[in-house]
Amino acid sequence: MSEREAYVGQPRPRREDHRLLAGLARYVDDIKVAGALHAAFLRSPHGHARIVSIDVTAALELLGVVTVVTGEDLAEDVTDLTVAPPIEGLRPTSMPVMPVDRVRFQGDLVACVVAADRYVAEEAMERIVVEYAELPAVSDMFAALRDDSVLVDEALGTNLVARRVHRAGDPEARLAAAPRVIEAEFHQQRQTHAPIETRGCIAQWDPGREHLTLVIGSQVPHPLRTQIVRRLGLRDSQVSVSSPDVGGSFGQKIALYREELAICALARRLGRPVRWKEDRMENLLAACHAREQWCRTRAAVDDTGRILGLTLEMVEDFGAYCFYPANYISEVVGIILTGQYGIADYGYEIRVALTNKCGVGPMRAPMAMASWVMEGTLDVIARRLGLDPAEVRRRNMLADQALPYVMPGGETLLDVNCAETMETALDEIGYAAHRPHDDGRYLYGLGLCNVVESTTYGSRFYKNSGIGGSGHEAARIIVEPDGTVSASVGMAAAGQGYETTFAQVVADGVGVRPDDVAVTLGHSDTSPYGMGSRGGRGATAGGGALYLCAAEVRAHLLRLAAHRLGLNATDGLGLRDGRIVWVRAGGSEETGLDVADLARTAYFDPLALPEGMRPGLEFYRTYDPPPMTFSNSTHACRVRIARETGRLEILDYLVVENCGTVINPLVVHGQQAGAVAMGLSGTLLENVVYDQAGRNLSATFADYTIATVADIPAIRIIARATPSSRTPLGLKGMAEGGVMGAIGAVANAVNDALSVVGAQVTCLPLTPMRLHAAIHDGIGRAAQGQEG
Amino acid sequence: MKPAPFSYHRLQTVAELVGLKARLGDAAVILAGGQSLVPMLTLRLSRPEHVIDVNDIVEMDHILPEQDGLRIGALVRHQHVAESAVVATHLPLLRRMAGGVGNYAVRQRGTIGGSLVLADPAAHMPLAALLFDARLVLRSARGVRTAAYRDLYRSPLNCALDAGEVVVSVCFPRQPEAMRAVAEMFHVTAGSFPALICAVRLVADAQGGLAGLTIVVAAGAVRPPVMEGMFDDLRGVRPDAALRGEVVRRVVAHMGGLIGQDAAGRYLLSVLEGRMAMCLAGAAGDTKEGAGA
Amino acid sequence: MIISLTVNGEVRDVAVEPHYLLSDVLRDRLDLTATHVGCEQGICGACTVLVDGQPARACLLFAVQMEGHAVTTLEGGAPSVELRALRAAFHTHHAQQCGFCTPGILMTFAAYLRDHPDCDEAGVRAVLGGNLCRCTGYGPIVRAIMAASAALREVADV
Repeated sequence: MSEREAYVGQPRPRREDHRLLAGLARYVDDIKVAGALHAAFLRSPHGHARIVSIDVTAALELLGVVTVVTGEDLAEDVTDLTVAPPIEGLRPTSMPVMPVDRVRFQGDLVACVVAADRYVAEEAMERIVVEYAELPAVSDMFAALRDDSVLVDEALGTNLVARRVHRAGDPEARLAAAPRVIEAEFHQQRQTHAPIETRGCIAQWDPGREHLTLVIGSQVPHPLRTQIVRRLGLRDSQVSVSSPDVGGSFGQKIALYREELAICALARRLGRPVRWKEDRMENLLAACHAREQWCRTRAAVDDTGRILGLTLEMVEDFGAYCFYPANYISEVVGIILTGQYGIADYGYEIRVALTNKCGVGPMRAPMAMASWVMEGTLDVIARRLGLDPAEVRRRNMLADQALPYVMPGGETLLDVNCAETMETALDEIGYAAHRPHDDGRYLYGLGLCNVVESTTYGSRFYKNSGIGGSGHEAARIIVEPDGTVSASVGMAAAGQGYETTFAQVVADGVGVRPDDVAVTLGHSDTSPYGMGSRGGRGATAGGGALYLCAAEVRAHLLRLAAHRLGLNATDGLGLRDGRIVWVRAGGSEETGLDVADLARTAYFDPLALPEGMRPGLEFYRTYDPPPMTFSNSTHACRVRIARETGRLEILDYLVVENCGTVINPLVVHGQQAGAVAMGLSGTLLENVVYDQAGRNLSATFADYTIATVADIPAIRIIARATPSSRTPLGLKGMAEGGVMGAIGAVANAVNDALSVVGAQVTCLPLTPMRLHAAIHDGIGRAAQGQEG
Repeated sequence: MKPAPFSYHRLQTVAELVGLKARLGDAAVILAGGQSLVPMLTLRLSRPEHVIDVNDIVEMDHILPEQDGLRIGALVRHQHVAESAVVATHLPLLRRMAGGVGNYAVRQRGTIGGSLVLADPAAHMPLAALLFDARLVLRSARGVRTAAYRDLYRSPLNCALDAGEVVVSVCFPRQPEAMRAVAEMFHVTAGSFPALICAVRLVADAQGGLAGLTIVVAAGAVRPPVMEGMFDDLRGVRPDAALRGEVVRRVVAHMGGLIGQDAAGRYLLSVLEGRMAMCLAGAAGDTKEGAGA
Repeated sequence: MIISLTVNGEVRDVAVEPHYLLSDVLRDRLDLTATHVGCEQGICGACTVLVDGQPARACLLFAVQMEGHAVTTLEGGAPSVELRALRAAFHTHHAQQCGFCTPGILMTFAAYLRDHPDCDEAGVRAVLGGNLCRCTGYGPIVRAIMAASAALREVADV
């Protein structure tokens, strides 16, 4: 392969920036399509209701209205979505493109107006007369799991849409025999992704070619296309999906949502382009929510704080509809919970409930709760036993020699340096000198959170865990006739800087300059079919596939060069910055050939190619990463809570992270800090609130507050990277661990501070009001850490 | 979401405004800065037939020191108040409160008249107008009158102008030399509206005793009460820590009766207790207590 | 109705209805799509443009109000020295990821740095509080604005 990595590792400012800073970026809604009609969706004002009748007459009379359709109308054009992978304990679900007779949450779809513009469409919506028969709603997941609950999906006969049980060893026996059993509870509130660019799409049907083109901000253009063709009864070759610049996604732009599918169906039905831009209220009400999970751990421990056995009980609120298999998110929490700790006897039971709320999906670090639950459990153990929390971690942590280690969840942990990141973090945060204390105005605490971040999921993981799909990724590299390099993978960027970082990877893999590499992404016709952007797979799956493909390009070019130079073998030849060189000890010597010369030969003088080499320079390569790759980190923070107001201040926040080979430190640092910020925002502020009738009380940015600059402290990031032994370039991936660590570090710091007054909190978000109550009213006191 | 259609009128003079408002009545809303009105129109919480744009009426865009106080035109932007040397001289607290409205971009557009008419219970300018007993100059086809804002501001989002009336300017009465005013704002999160604003106006007599005390508190979704008469018995007393403690007790008790004692109410009252003490210490010139005057 | 307004230094005539928001008219009628719509509730700040040189939320203005006024968007003709300095610093400091909120931040600070050449970090943070960013955690944005401010002072001193 390459003689050296010249560009990987460089903090190169991004090439994407120019268009973003000049106002020349093209997000979906910036793209003009002549003659496009605008759609708007009428949504249910009720949490749960039967649709008695819909009268669209007055809407149709409005000038500029082209059509109004209901669920019944669209059912003719679109098949239902059935989510029924063969997973034990998972009940199959099915939903039409738009509800026909019953709405299941506030914001559910009722009708779609297509008009000359959005203003007219909204006027028309007001003229639609819908008669609802309101039904009792269930907006609490625990209530939903009771036998007498209202049913969200009557076809299921229960709200328990998934129940998953896993056992390694015999945790129950350990609990029964243990000197002490310590329980801890954790409740994470419902959140939503809130990308600043809401969802939206433009669908065009070409009746002559019978071809659908969908422009949509998507993380996964090809899997999305697969969904579309299935639902619309088309073939893969009849649909193109194009994802332009994307204004943030965070997991919200993976699924094919009902609105988008309806727009496709309407474009085909009308034979005219149809576009839709979600507004913020729709986005907060009805796009996709996340994270509403409750966990209880029971740990069998000895007097030294060593965990002898552990069980996890988890309940997740999945909302009204399943866009994903209902075990998909919580299962990963169960699988990776034990992280870097050696716990042989472990089991989990997960129950997933349907409720009359917006459906949920993965949000940046969907498994985020795992770190808080594990590290919070360790802190409760330390407090109960009067031990030092760091020491309890040390006693349970796997020694480096114990790796690779088959975790009780089934995946194999390796290439992590958890002790190193933790000890570094302890030094940097001043752990030795810290004691939680109270100076009369503030309570002071310090929190630790070790994180094992599952970054990349290979096909083996999907197969093992019963989640559909593949974990591989595909790369295509074309050396163009002028010697420039065009590279592509099946991923779609939403700010990750792929165009810059992948160019660095390809430059090193081929032996050219990054400036000679163009990275094009996001179009299903020009990118190879890949699994798209999700989790932390960008670097390992995307970068890995590109690097392997680039190596093939290099080998091919060197064979061609050798032939041009009259050699039988490529020994001694190298590719540096696009030039073919003789590699010598201490330097290199020009051969006079460069990639452009070779490209000319390959395209325009094929008779000059070596025996058996075909004309052209196009390369395709797939790569299936290991079942699971891991990055690891330790987050540590010091906080103080004002007694008077309950307001939390983060005095110092640091992350020591090992995310393997870093392609571009500038970009990686941005991702790490951004992930921490999202984690802090969720831990401190964000909250999707429903009342008992299923009304959403947080449908504007005034009510669903996300962090502003004043809410985010300075974030120190210290690299302790070691490469992966199993991936190209030693890449591991990152960008989600920050969320995981932030929740655990801050929650643990808060409970450290509250321990001074004998209080604890187990519910997020950690609002001033909640912390104030914990300090003054003793709420949460003794709720944590019951000894059994 | 998009606003519903309306007819648009853009006027140049107060006389035109008064005439048109008389003709259109409640079918028309007045668009000044629009920072609160436009979201309400966009969310279709309000659907007026007519929108009257007053942004060109320059005669309402002035800050004038007058014999008996400070006159601020209804169209004066918050940022203008916040940067005004005249306001800084006459009413430093008003300047500071204007500088805390919304954010930089919002302050460039939002107007004092619009804010007072909207009467949002969590807003800064209405609170300042209540504290200083500002009077609004109102014009209608029937003529001009002035009215105390305290009388007009009946309940949240209800500034009770008479039919056809428009706010032309607001007059903040000249304050005695021995007046000190202090306000404290408490935001639950940095980006949210203030959950609590408390403001104190304290006038001392020649001996340093209390000659007048006005306290206004915005908390919960109630019209911020003006607390004044309830301190009459304290006149002449020096505002030392003991007296301030008594005032805090009265204020907290009064607010408790208004905003209720549920969890959120209890929390606000608890925070109010601390903030009120800070405010009072600042107004009494006792900087040891660390008031944010 | 036809209104006439100055956009990025050019007088433009455009047909609008009174209830059309300035953000929509800039984007859909004048093809100036750098002004992004993030919330239409006046909160996120992505649609911030300059009206007569001062920042304003384009989603909180009706286009019809702009008759006779000057609107500047990120596309804006010849960029001001402040905007050029901000662009350079945002690039160097990796102050944007998805870039959707960026235009509003750039426009706000193009005006703020012009009017506050000696601004400090606290002032910058207070103003940035009016813009939401979901990607960066704000740290790089603050650093970039401070760097742009410093660079502008250097130029002014020469």
